[in-house]
Formats: sequence, C-alpha cells, structure tokens
Amino acid sequence: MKKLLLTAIGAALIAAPSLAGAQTITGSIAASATIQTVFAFGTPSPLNFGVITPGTAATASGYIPLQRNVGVIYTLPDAATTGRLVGPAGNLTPTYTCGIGTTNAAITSAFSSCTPATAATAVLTIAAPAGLTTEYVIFNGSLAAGQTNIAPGTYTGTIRITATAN
Amino acid sequence: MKLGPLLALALALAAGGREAAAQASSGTSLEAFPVQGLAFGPMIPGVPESIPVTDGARRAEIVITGQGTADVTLVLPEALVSAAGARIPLRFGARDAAVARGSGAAVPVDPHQPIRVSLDGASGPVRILVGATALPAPGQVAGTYTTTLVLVVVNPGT
Repeated sequence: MKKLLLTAIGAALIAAPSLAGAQTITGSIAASATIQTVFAFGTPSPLNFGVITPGTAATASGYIPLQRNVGVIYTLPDAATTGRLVGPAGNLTPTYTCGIGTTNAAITSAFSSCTPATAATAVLTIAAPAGLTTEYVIFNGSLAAGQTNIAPGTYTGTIRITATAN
Repeated sequence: MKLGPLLALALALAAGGREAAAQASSGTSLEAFPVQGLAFGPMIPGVPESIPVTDGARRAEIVITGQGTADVTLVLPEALVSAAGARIPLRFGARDAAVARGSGAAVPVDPHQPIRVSLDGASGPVRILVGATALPAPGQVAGTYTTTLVLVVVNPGT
C-alpha cells in the first residue's frame, strides 16, 4: 500500500509541470489610416454678357465648382471691386447676386456681400459636410440699360474667390 | 528498506519535474513584440487601399519568441474608426497574413484561422505579418482613423 501511495505521489508531481507550462499571452497592434482632405476648385464657367446693344440691360451667370470634405470659409480678395469690368470707357460695374448652390443653377446659401468691404471679410462660412460634396459658387450679374450706353468695345474682368479649408 | 529506492525515485522525478517546470516557465515564456502597425497612410475617399502582406513598410508585424509550439489567433477588427465614430471597413483576405522565421521567407497563412508556430531560440523568432484592405466610402469624412488588431498566443505547455 505504501508503495502504491508513493508511486501515486511521484506521478502527481511529475504531471504538474505540464499544467504549469501552459501559457497564453495577448498582444495588440495598431492600425491607422488618414482620409485626405479633399478641397479643390473645378473648371469655372465664365459669366458672359454677350454682345450688348447700347442702352439695353444684360445679364449673365457663371459658376465654379468646389469639391470638399471639410468646412470652408469664402472670401473675395478683390473686396469692393469684385467683378468689375474694364474696357474702352473705363470701369463697368455689374450688380451681382452671389453664393453657393448644390447645383450650378441656383443659389441656396447667399454670400453676405458680393463686394465686401475688405478682402478678409468672410462672406460665407460652412461647416464640414457629412462626406465628400461638390458645391457651386455662383455669381449672377446684371447690367442696367443705363450702364451699357457707353463706348463700344470689350469689357473684361475676373471674379476671384478664395476658399479656405476650415 | 525496499521502499527507500522507490521514494528516492519519486522524489527524483518530482525534483526533475519541478526543474522541467522551471525551464518551461523561463524557456517557453512567450513574448510578443509589436514591431510595426498596419499603416494605410493617406487615402482618398472612395478608393480602396490594400496593404499586401509583402509590403514591408506598411504591413503589421509582430515578433513572437519562446519555446515549443504555440497557436496564434488574430482577432481582426471590422473597421478603422475615427474619433467622431466614422468607420472605414476593413477586409482581411485568406492570404493577408504570413509567418516568417527570422529573416527567412514568409509563408502565407489565413488570418482568420489559428496559426500554429514552432518556437525555438536556435531558429530565431517567429514573425507574424498581416496585411489588409481598407474600403473608404466615396463620402468618407477627412480625418484620422485607427483601430487595434489583437493577437492571442497560446502555448499549450509540455
């Protein structure tokens, strides 16, 4: 009986190391990605008042698309002279309505001014969209009949728009 | 008197057993070292980005050291997540993991299945390599996305 008992003790002691050898560890590894900021103007569609008969009114519309996935602050760096046309008789200043639209056909959020007091004036600030979006900065210009009764020739100008990612 | 040798044998085995256990504890002590994370880097919304397991610069790499046999299980995340909770789904293909020993060639394995590896100091550590594909949506919001890939290593013991 004592032999059996001792044998049993020995077996138990021998078996113990196998249980003690079991081991589990857990580690972790980071994974990361950065979705790039998309913020780019597309191809503009210019305002063209066409050939105007002196003494008649004229209108024109133009736009430039902006694709973005971040917020934006719009400013007009030419401030009070934004959209001014220059030609043989000097300056020709159309009246504008301006803002952004979800399509190029209609303004859905108007700028606070199309001819702001300063270049730094934020004419519209928009928060980041839920995802990548394309919006259109639209300028609609009007020339009154009285403005077009001037020296003939070509009158041109540039509407400059600054979009700052926000 | 006849019991003496038997008792001695039992104690010797017991002592040997304890010694073996001590060796197992130190020699088979598993350790896992994350060498580098899975780094997709800059991505464009709507454009899937894959990191092949052969991409040494961007794949995840974990080094495992120890002794004996170990079963490695990867707990694969479903998505990268931004601080705001936006998600970029992740896809792990059947050949998006590999096992390499030391600087040796990598053997492709399925990251969805447990990976059995043999560890021994003479052959160098085992390297677990992991690639993946990220699937950003066309309207994915800009920002940083992160997640964690968990590795469970089990040594069943001797």
